[in-house]
Order: sequence, then C-alpha cells, then structure tokens
Amino acid sequence: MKNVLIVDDERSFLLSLVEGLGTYAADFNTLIAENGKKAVEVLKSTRIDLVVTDLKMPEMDGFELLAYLSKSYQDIPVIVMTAYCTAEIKSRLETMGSFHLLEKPLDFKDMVNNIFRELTSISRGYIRGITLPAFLQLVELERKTCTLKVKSKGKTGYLYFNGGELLDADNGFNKGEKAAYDIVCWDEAEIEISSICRKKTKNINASLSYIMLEGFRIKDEKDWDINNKSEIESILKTAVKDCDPLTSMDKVEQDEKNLNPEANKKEEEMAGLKEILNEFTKLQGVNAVCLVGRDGFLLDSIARTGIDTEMIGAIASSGFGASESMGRQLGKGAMSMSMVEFKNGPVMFSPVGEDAFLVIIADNDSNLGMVRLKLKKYSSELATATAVAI
Amino acid sequence: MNEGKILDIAHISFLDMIKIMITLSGAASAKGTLIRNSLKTAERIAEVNYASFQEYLSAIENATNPITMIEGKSSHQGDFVFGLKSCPFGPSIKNYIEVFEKLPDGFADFTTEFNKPSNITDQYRVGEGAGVSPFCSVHQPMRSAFAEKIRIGGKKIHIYQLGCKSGSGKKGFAEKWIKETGAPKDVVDKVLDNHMCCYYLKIFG
Repeated sequence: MKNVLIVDDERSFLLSLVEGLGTYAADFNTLIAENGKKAVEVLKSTRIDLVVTDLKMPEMDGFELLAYLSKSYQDIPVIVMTAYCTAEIKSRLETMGSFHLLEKPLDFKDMVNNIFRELTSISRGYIRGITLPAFLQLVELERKTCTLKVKSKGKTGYLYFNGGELLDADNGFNKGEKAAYDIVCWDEAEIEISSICRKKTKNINASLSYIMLEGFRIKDEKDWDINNKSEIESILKTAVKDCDPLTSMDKVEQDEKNLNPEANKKEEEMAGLKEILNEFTKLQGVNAVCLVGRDGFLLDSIARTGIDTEMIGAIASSGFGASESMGRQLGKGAMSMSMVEFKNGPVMFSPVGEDAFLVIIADNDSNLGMVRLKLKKYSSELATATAVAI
Repeated sequence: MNEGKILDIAHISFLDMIKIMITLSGAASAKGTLIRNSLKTAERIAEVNYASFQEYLSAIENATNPITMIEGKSSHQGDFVFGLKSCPFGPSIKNYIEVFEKLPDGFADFTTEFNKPSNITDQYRVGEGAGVSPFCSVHQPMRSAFAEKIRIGGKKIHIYQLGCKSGSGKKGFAEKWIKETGAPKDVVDKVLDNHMCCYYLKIFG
C-alpha cells in the first residue's frame, strides 16, 4: 500500500482531507503532519511515496521541508500547495519534471487527480524530486526572504533572497550575477535554507528567470566548447581558409557525428518539436521561435509574453516568400537563411523541409553564431518533426 | 448612347493581384494570405440559428442565409449534399478571359498548392483536390468559416468541400472529404455535371 503524507498547519483542514481521502483507502494511506518538523519525523519512521505540503507553516516551513527532501529523499515526488499559482508557473515547473503545484483554496477533485497521477508516475519512472531551478522559482513566487546554501559535487554556493528577489550570490570564486549564473545550473543540488537574509545590498539587477535562462545558455556553450573544442578550431581554420562557413559546418557536423555516435543517437532520440524549439530559446537574446507553414499559419512556437506569434506567422510568410522569390529571380538558388536587422534586433528566417520555415526573433545582444549553429544542428530533426506537425 | 462593354476593374485587379502575390512571395504565402483574408471576412458576420434544417433550406431559398449571400443559392441534392450552380468568381473570370484571353501565369501552381494537405485546409475541410483555381482558396474556406457562425436547432454545423468544376469543365474531387463524409463519389460526380461546386453539410449532435 502506498503512503501519502500531507503537511499543513491547519488542523481542521488536515482532518477534513483525511476524511475525504478515506474514500481512497483501498489505493493509499493518508498520513498527516502539522509542520515540516513533524513531517521529517514521519519520513524517518515510515516509507512515504508522496508528500503534499503547504509552504507557510510554523517551526519548519514548506521551503525547509523541500530543502530537506532535496537532500535526503530525492526520489519522493512532491505536490506543493500555494496561493500564488499561475498557469504559466505551473506549466514551467511541471516541464522541469519537478514538483506539481496545487492552487489554494484547493479543489478536492483536482487534488485527488494529482495524487493519483504522482503515485502512478512512480511506476512509470518519471523525473521527480526537487530541482534547484524549480525551488528557486517557488522562492520567487512566494516572495520568500531567505538564504540558500547550495551544495553540488564538492562545490558550495549561496543565494540571497529578499521578498523573493535575488539580491546576491556567492560561489566561492565570484559574487553577484556571475556567481548566480553558475550556481543556478548546478546538478544534483542539495539545498539548505535559512529564513534570514543578511545581505541588504542588491548586487544582482537581472530577474531570476533571466539569470536562469542566461546561466543555462552559458553552461550549454561551455559544455559545447568542451565537447567540441577541436571541431571549433577546425571550423575556424576552414572558414578562414575558404570563407565558406556553412560548408565548414557541414564537415564539422559530419565529423562530430562520426566522432560521437552516442551524442548523435541522443539527438535522434530527442522527441518533440517543442523541445527542439526550446533549444533556441535557451540562447542569449532569443525572444521567440516560431515554426510556420509556408502558407503563414503557425505550426508551433515558444515566445516571450506579449508576442503575437500568429501575426508573426502571417507577416513572416510574406517576408520569407519575398526573400525566396528574390533569390530565385536573381538566380541564387535555394535559400538557406534570411536575416533582417532592425533597430532593436534581428529577425531570422530559415527554411525547414519543403513546407515550413523557422522564424527567430532576437535582441541586439543575441549570439547569432550560436543561432546559426543550432539551425544547422537541428535542421533535420526539425524537418522530421515538422512533417508530422503538418 | 452605347458605352460598349465595361469591365469591373476591381475584379480584373484582384485577378492580377493574385499573380503579383505569387510572384512576390510564392504560391504558398499567397494561398495563406487569401485564406486568412476569407477567415477574417467570416469573423465579421453575425451568428445565426435556424430552428430546423428545413428552415436553413428556406433561408437559402430566400437568400437570407449568410452563405447564400456570398455565393448565391445552392440546392440540396439529398443526404446533405449541396450543389452550387454558378461559381461566384465565374463572371470575373469570364470578363478577364474576354479581354486577356487567358488567366494570369502562376495560377496552376497556386491551385496545386491549395490542394496540398495542410493544417488550415484540414481545419476548414477544403482543398485536398477540390481546388480547381486560386479562387477556390478564397471561396471554399470562406464558406466553411461562415458555417461556423451558423447553428441548426442550436447544433454546430461543418461544411466539407467535396468537389469543384473549373470553367473549362475539369472536375476536381476531394477524396479525403468524400471518404470522411461517406458521400458517394458518383453522386458528387453527378452533382458536378450540373453544378460548379459540391459540398456536404454535417450537423453535429
């Protein structure tokens, strides 16, 4: 029998839940704890399959409990009850494969569905437990004041929050944003939380979401550099030699595939168009990525809030078509990429298979080289995924 | 005083405009623009509910049905299959050919593009072989989109384009929609003997 532990400081609420969940006594046992401290005692004495916790509690609050779980019970799935839930945050956290959010006041039916989903996911081998990025988003969401001590693979770092705002970071080598970019990407992080923030001065101006986006971009680039250092040198040498970067990249890609069949296999196994598009949004300065049918109707997109992707599709179709027509009229052959530079940044178009094209909208500080590289890297997967999407 | 034959310049310009769109941004983009435009037009009409199918047919007869107001009277051939006697673009095409002898270049590519499977033609159940000219990419989605504003007995309706006939008499059949609706192809073929356009009306629920 599976055990579900519900943690909340409202006793009447707990008792009504126990009564309600009694209907499912044949499926799971319901255990209760009135705060994080009592939850830890239960966790130490009983095998728990799922924790459902509130965040605001006396003695040891939900954040401290989450931190404890991240350190000592990484495999236990968690559902967090919060009053600050939005659909966007909910979806973002769920995409991270971390905990699920339940909006307070609770919808009992929704809660039961989530419990069953989590308990079933155990046998499916879903990613679970608490990831650092998800934890950080919750700190921001709940406007928490705290200091986080993050440990990973022998490294220790500190993140200082005041009212959910990231004030400063320290990874032992750097402070401020530079340290934050590093810490937010640490794998298998153990989190310790203290509800005091001794830092009063703001040394980080960027938002937490930007720090995470940029941190992962830098990490991606570093990983890529490490794995492909010799290939990069080869690109540069060949590019200088024959001034044909795309041909050079073709060669390097081929070499990369030959050298690293595992990575190639992994690429092939990468499922879902959304995941591919997401690769582009991880790049610095990329605001939107839209996959558009040549008729201008949107097939899929990931965009920053406020960008009308349907409209982009319609307009870009004319722009893309015009570029292609120009190339054809001038006898320049098939188009590989078109870029229009505006005052506030470039817009790039790149064909995807026979029936679609990709639109990338970026800021002035975007790394166009990386965009081009990713376009080359994912062109075939995009074409395959697009054929399914159409 | 005999003023001679006067062409409707708006019609002539529209036909040439399609050619320019194809030249400037390609057939696919031009197709998308025309379909989007049709859908936008449909957004502007008011929703209407007919108490029964009979009342819907009467509205066609009285020319008060929104679809009838854009394409003229269609006739029910039985089993929810309809035939439209005249193509709404017929007079424009006739006028154009009288002056310029043939339709602009690029129209064939455009028609092929319209008949290719795509999300948008799937959504509105058009094309798939039922396109015989670029005008079908305006007319067919517009009719389907108008239908989304119509209820019969409070129930939603969908229109499926089954076939169409060009001015030269060449018939185009949408095998996909014929199969999906279960309308016999020989019936569609027969309807197109005496009509320019053939479609199916499905009432949900």
